[in-house]
Amino acid sequence: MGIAFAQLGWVIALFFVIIMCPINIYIGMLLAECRFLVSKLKKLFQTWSLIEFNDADSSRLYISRYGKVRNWKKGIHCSGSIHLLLVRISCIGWVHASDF
Amino acid sequence: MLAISESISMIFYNTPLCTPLWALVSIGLLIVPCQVQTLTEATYLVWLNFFCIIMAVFMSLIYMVSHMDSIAVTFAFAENLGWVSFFNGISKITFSYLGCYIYLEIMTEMKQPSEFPKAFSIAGPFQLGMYLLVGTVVYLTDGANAVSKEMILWDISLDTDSITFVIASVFLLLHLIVAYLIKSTILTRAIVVGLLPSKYKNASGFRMRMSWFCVSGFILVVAFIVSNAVPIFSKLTSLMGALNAPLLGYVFPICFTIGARRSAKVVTGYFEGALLIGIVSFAIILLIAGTSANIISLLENLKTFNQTPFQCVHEPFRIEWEKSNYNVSS
Repeated sequence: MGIAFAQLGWVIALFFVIIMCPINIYIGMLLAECRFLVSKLKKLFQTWSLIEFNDADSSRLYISRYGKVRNWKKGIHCSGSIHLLLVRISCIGWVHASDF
Repeated sequence: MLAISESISMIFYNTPLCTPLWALVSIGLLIVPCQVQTLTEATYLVWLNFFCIIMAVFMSLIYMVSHMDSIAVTFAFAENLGWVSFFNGISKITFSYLGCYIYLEIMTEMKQPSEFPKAFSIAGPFQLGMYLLVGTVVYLTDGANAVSKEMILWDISLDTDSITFVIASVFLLLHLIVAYLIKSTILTRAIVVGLLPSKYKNASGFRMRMSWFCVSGFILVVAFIVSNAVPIFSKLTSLMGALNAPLLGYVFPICFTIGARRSAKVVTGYFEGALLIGIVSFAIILLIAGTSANIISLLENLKTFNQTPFQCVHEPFRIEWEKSNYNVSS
């Protein structure tokens, strides 16, 4: 740090030492938020996988990267599945059910 | 690895060994502790690390303040400030704050990861206070000649206070070993978990232990190569600051967060968006200009001091210390 002060002088060195601290804390907060969001989405995905395991047709389903639930194959409809209906209800607020 | 080698040479300051050989000694010192596979029960290591760095830094600072005869000449804006020294200095500051690459792993180790942001209420002011204190005291003591000293411990006189110097060096060495172990364990685990099939991931299994040994040994070898390819510590930190910090510290975390927010349908506000763009722009400028500046500066330094990568000149640390202090007095 002493070398940085000698290379930059008081004004620039103090400016960057002071400004970098909140920026790094902010980035740390962003990472914490990122982890929280990913773990929440992961739990949602795990809920899906658990139900898929019990459902013969649901292996054709996947969750896209935007969290939308879609049919894997054209012509396969899940409206008859009670499991998927339950999931659809539980996922309101998290996924767009309009693609069913 | 370079700092560990240097601190060992500082402890045995009259022993004439070259940097690559000190680095080999460091590998011997690290290879056994590196076999620890988890950090969960190693809270005491963090406190040891904290205590050691506090002792090493404060011993040097107190020494400098108590032996300060007159304040050195300092400048509001450094004399001969060019783009190379500008980005060199900023890279050092960026490197000092760089911690993002380990935050996710720390969160993984925590019992309650949601408590992680609270850590900044201690870490933030502590980091800022320490950096301001160290920067101010060193600059006031050495002035523009601070550039010739790789570490603040070099301000302790080897002629009159060699015991203080050795004790401070031991604290520094312990701090560096613990810091290396924490980072190495995380990196080794990530690589081993990625490479091994899931059926062999039992920590007590022979295959797991052998894989761990091979990967941690490989990381040590890579560290050995890097530390000897860039044998000047301050230049290595600057280069790491310019090359790694923009990507690991700013660009990747921001990209990950935006990706996670899009997946979870969380909207980023205009002000925050502008702030994120500003940070990413700064990171890209630092990545390009900072890396170029540091490579130029490194090559100039190697030429000035007649050094080459992997050079093995057997001379004791005392000579290096005398050179840096001779520069100061001149």
